Amino acid sequence: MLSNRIRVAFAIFFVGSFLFMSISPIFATAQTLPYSGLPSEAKNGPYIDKMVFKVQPNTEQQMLALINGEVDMIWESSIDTTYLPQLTAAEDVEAFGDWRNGFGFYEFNCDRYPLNITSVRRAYAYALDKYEISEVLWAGESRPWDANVPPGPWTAEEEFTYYYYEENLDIANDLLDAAGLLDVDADGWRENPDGSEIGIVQVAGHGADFQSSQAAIIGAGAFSAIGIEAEPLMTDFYQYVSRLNFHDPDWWVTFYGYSFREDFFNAVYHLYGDFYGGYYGVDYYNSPNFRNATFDALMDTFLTAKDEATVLSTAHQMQEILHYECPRVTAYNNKAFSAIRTDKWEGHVAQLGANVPNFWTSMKVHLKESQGGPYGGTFYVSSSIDIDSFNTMSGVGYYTWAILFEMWPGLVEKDENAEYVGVWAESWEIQTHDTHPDVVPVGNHRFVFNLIQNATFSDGHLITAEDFAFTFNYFKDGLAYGNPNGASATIQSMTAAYAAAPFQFVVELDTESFWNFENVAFRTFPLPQHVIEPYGLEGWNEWDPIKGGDPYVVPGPFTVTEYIDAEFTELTRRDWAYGIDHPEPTTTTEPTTTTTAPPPPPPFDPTLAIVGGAVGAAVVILVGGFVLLRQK
Amino acid sequence: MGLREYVIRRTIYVFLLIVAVICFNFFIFRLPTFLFGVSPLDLMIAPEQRATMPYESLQLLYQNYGLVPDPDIFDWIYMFWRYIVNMFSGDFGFSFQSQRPVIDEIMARLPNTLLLMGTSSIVAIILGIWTGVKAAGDPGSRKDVGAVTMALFTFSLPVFWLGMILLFFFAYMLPALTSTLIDGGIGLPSGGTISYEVWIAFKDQPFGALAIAGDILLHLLLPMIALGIGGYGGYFLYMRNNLIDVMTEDYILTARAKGLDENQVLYKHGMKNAMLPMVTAIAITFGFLINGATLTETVFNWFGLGRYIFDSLLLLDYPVVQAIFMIVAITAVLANFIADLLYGFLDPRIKYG
Repeated sequence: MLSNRIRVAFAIFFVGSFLFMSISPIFATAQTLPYSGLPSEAKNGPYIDKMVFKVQPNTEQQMLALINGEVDMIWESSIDTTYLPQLTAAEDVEAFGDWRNGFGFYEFNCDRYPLNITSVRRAYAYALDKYEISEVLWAGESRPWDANVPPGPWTAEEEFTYYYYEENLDIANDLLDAAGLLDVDADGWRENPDGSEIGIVQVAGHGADFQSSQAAIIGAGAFSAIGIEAEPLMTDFYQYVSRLNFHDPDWWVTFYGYSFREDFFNAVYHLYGDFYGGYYGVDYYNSPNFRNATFDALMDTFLTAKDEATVLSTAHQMQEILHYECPRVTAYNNKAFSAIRTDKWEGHVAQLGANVPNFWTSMKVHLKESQGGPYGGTFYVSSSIDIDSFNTMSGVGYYTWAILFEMWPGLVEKDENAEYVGVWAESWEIQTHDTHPDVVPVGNHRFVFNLIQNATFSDGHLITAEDFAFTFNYFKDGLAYGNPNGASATIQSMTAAYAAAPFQFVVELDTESFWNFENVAFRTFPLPQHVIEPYGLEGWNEWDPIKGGDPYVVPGPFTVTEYIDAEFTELTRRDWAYGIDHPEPTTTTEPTTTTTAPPPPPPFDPTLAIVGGAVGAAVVILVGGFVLLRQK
Repeated sequence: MGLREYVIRRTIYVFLLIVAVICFNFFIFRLPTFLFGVSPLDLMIAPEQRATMPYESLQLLYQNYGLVPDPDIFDWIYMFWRYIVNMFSGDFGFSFQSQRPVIDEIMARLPNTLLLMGTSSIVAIILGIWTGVKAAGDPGSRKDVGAVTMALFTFSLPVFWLGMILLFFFAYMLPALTSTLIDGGIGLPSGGTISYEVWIAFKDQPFGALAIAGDILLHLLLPMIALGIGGYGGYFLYMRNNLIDVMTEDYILTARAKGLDENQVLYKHGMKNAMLPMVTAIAITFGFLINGATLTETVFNWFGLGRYIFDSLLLLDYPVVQAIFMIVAITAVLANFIADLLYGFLDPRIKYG
């Protein structure tokens, strides 16, 4: 049997292995900040020749790739705050952060006693320590937030006369006492006015998510602090979603979060689907079961308001009602971060709400002069998820659109300050019955877009008003065949979309609302009619460019030149409407033909040679050894 | 009953089993819908987006995906019927997530999965058989005990952890340590199946395919080692125990009495007979090749079916998981069937009945 020495060696080996296994998580790293934004004005670009999206699903992998110079930027706007110290310490790397266009919140079931009492919900809001939530959930890269609209043009956060930021148990207890919820039997927990037990309030969080589960724990603690017995409930994600969607009568409070990316319309318009009394009890809408006549009246004004001042005023009044009524207690607004290498690149743009990864960054980023800039170069970015489809009508994910936006800019886009910038639209006119009584019926809207006239798709076809008219009608009619692009309220209220002239595009709606322009113009791009039309309305999802081999014709500044599933997407600059003159690439002129210089050989990578050598040596040793053994 | 009757009977069983699997497939992936009422579209449309969408549009979208927001029993019966018809007509439909044909999505990942699972299975089988034979040659010795302990240890290691450790050493530590010697350092890829740089440099070269194949093999090395080491223990124990049993048979004694060399006894007489039960195990292993290795593929960012199954399950992408599970089930059932037949051909003593 084994000698003692070997036993000890085995024991040390196994103990060592298990110890290493148990401490291995310490190799993961931990957190702080710095952020800044760079201004950009003109819309001409891009400066870079190529942009390569590398799929790197693990954050550690992304961090190392950025620090080692394998990629130039992490194309996400939500790097975990625990990685910030590592980024800050790295040479030639800069982390950018800005307040997220979203927030985390606690949603009440306003149908369930005693949460149907406003004082109870307000008492909870006062009992919550939002500074603690910011600290625990986001390591301080967050701030308390009260409004139901995130930072941006529509929030009323600065207008509130009071805040629920700090824990204020005195006010909270006074509110509960006034509501008749007293600790009659002196057991430490409050009872209902009739003396019966309130029951244990459950604060649900998504158990597999750190922020959500911690929020549930803190939320339950806030209830307990004001004498209402409560417990955190860690749920499965599906359960979590369905309790909100289907008005599960058994739920009490649920923690959730919203992200609106760079879209400030949804950031305020969601108040309609989330709190409007007309949606009370309707699946998927008004999950807090909130009803308030004043709020609904304001909402009706909000939806049909024709000018920004009315919208702003009603939006603020509605937020003030929600701030008082607390059907949802907003808890925090955290920062979103991304990072870029600064030794080679400059000119990137921090866009409000979108942070650094955005359309303007790829348009403006350029090589430093010391690197031979500003023109040319390949900009490598790391993305954690691959594009799911190159078909703009099928692609749904954030990561998919991070790539598609580079090729499909809209009639108008928004600059770094969230102001409209015309891309395909050179100018536009918003017509109402008041301004054009002969062509616009009462309560209708008409938009006339004058398009730029030198724009072409990547196959050389001129982009005309016909392409836009086709796109709008294709979306609207396509809803009957499952095309989700036709599902928006604005598209459904469209009565006509047509080309009034080759470069004049008109959209008519049977509603008149301040929001119509945003919904019609922002991010609405022209589909190439000559490519899509043959698929028919029912074939909206059969067009499968790149992955399925169908031709990919795009209008924007880049086009796809290489793609390998789950590995990379290479975009190459094309001569588009706002292209800038690049110096001619180096060419070799022969007597009769001109050829592009061959790509430079890749840098010597010894790994392949070493592994190849090792495998070869192993084969030689094994075969040689076998032959020798046979001879023996 | 002869071989022909046996094959007919088993074929009927196989068919019934596949029908049962198809029916089971429908219900198991819809459990979240049965239990919680959640549907795939709930995950595709964020609540903040849905809040701005008219209710009628939302309902129309559900219908066009073949879904019902809050289905009753008649909705379920209709959905089940349509599913059965589609499955038997080979129409796997479109993925909810990508809106691409499911079969295209599967075929895009299948080669990678077969490459990873095939090579790692071969590594595991060869390593298991080789060490199993060596250990069984001298049962109870230090070598045997050591090999058994090591096999049990590696077999019980979580493969994803082993993968992360391999990545840590060979993809992160090694390049860092050698970067002072050579610019960029020496190391293995930290994930994926191919490098962008290699692809761009060699795709148009006359012998570029060789360089690209080499790059894919380089990326394959670590996940293959992780799966190979993690899986060899089972084959080792199976082989060792079989061989130890066989070595007690009379014909082994006779071979020794004839004066044969111990290596000849072990490899020619012992191993040949001990390999018979291994055939079944290996056949079944190959039947499960298309399963992929979910955790390993995730750790190494390997573009294969295992990770796709996992992602699709989380997103309730029914068409994808239904199709993959049906293909996996059919392959596994057929592999078992073939293994049973093969066993009879290899061992003439076995009679079908």
